This record gives sequence, structure tokens and C-alpha cells, in this order.
Amino acid sequence: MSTRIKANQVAAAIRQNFAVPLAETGRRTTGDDSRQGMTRSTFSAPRAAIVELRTLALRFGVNMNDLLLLGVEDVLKAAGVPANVAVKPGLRDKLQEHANRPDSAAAASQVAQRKSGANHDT
Amino acid sequence: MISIASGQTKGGTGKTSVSVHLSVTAAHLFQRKTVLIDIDVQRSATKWGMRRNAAGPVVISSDAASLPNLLGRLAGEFDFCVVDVPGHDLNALSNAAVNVDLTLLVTRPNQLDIEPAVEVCNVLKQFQLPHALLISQAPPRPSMKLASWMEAYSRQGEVISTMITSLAAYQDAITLGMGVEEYEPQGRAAREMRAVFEWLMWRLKEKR
Repeated sequence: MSTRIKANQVAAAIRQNFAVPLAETGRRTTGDDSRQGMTRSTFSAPRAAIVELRTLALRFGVNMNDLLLLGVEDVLKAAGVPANVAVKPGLRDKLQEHANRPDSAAAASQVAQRKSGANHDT
Repeated sequence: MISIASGQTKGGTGKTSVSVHLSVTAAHLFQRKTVLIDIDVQRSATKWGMRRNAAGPVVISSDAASLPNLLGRLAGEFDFCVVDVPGHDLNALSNAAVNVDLTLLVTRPNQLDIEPAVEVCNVLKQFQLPHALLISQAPPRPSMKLASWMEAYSRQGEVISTMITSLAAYQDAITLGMGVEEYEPQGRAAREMRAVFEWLMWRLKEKR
């Protein structure tokens, strides 16, 4: 298939995805389509996800802001999240190093103690 | 030649900013022979290039229709290519997406921008065209909501973990005809752009 034909097909598919039939504009369906789910409730923060992120940050002794800025999914993958999550080079080793430290549990505890006494916006 | 398109269906999301700074980082820090192709009729990247005093990247003005032939001609001369795609132009975005190695969907972290970006990603995924979301103009301290959304989305699509923060350095550098790697090499903006480049190289190496 020539790239020009393929480009036209891609553009047509995007337009089709953007189109909302007039009859449906008054009511938005939810269904179980994960694609619609991702655009339906952007930025609603499930409590479970927040708890999981905090737990992982403590477990790996990673500063919560670093976790957010440098690679949430990297931490999750190191914790066993499915393999299709992209991993930033270098961070996996850093996290593994944290996890392998003999004092990692103590370090996590210290992080938790610092956070309980510090102001942060998470 | 590795080619990247920086695009979105919305305007003002930071596509040109990413194109410009990424190309400078590639050329000056990572020593790649780099070309920046501007197919946006606004020619913002071209005008930035005209303000430059430094060598590299080479900036070329073109259009979406000429892109396939142009990429073919440049492939033997350059190592890295960034295509700055205009917003509000599905044809240009689609044309770029089928002709480059990976398309970056540069999007601001809000519902109105992310929603169409995800729709485009779904189409690109359907056509097996490599792509990734890049969050731009992010707040300096990303919220848990944004982090949670990124984590959730990463299970179905690619989103670069490094976010481009809303920093004055990005715009100040552009005003001076520079990239952040030149303007403030020790600054956060330069680190972010390096991380994005490294991610791209890692991802494209894995796919080859």
C-alpha cells in the first residue's frame, strides 16, 4: 500500500473517531470499551491507585516527587506490572538497587517518617 | 536516519517547542547530524532557525505532500530528523505518521487536549504506526491525578514517562534562537529533553 493511500486512510479513521452523531450528543454511553473509559473520566484519581503509588514509593525508597517526575510506570514494572509498560533506561537498575539494599526496609521506614512530618502536596 | 514527527490535532500544545528543543539536544549533546523539517504553514520552527547563530540542526521548510520524497532524500545525509507537524491538520499528521519511525502526540495535561490525542493514538495503533504520548506544559509538581492517569493509560498505550514541564527556559531559549540544551544545559528543561531523546532511542532501537 502506498504511503499516500495509507495516510488518507489514517486521516479518515481519525475523522471518524472524532465524529459524534447528533442523535447521541445528549447522552454519552460508557460501556466496557477501555478506549472510551480512558477518555470518559480523565484525572479521576482512584484511591487504590494513589495508595499503590505511595506504597511503591516507600518500598523502593523513592521520593514521591521523583516517582511522579521520572517514571511511575518504571516503578510499577519493577513491581511486576505487565510487560507492555515502557521502562526508562537506567531507572530499573536504580530501583532494583534500592530493592536489593539490605537496609531497604529501614530506608522505606525513614522515608515514611520524613513524609509524616513534612508538608507535601500529594 | 531515525525520524520523529511532533504533532497533535490541537494547536498550542507545544509541538514546535518539542521539535526545536529535541533537535538541538540531538545535534549538540548527542552529536547526531540532525535536520528539523517544518511543514507548518506558520513556519514557527523556520523562524526560530533563522534566529540561530549556532550550527545544527539544519532547518528545512516544506509541506506535508513533499514529506515522503524529502525524507527519502535526506536519509543518507542525516542521522536524526524531527518533523514539526501543524495542529488542526489531520492530513499533515497522518502523512507524517505513515512516513516517520515514530509519532509523538504532544498534549497538554487536560481533558480537552488529551481526549483527541488518545483518539489519534487509537487510530495509529490500529494501523500499527509507532507513536507515543508526550505530556507537555505540565505543572512543576505533577498531581497524583495526572500520575494515576498516566499509569492507567500506559497499560493500553505508550506514554513517555518524562513530562515536559511548563518552564520559562523553553520559551526563553526559543526567543533567542536556541535550544534548552544550549540555553541552560544544567537546568531541568535540558534534563527533560535529554530524557525524551534517550527514551526515543531506546524505544526505536527495541523496535528495529
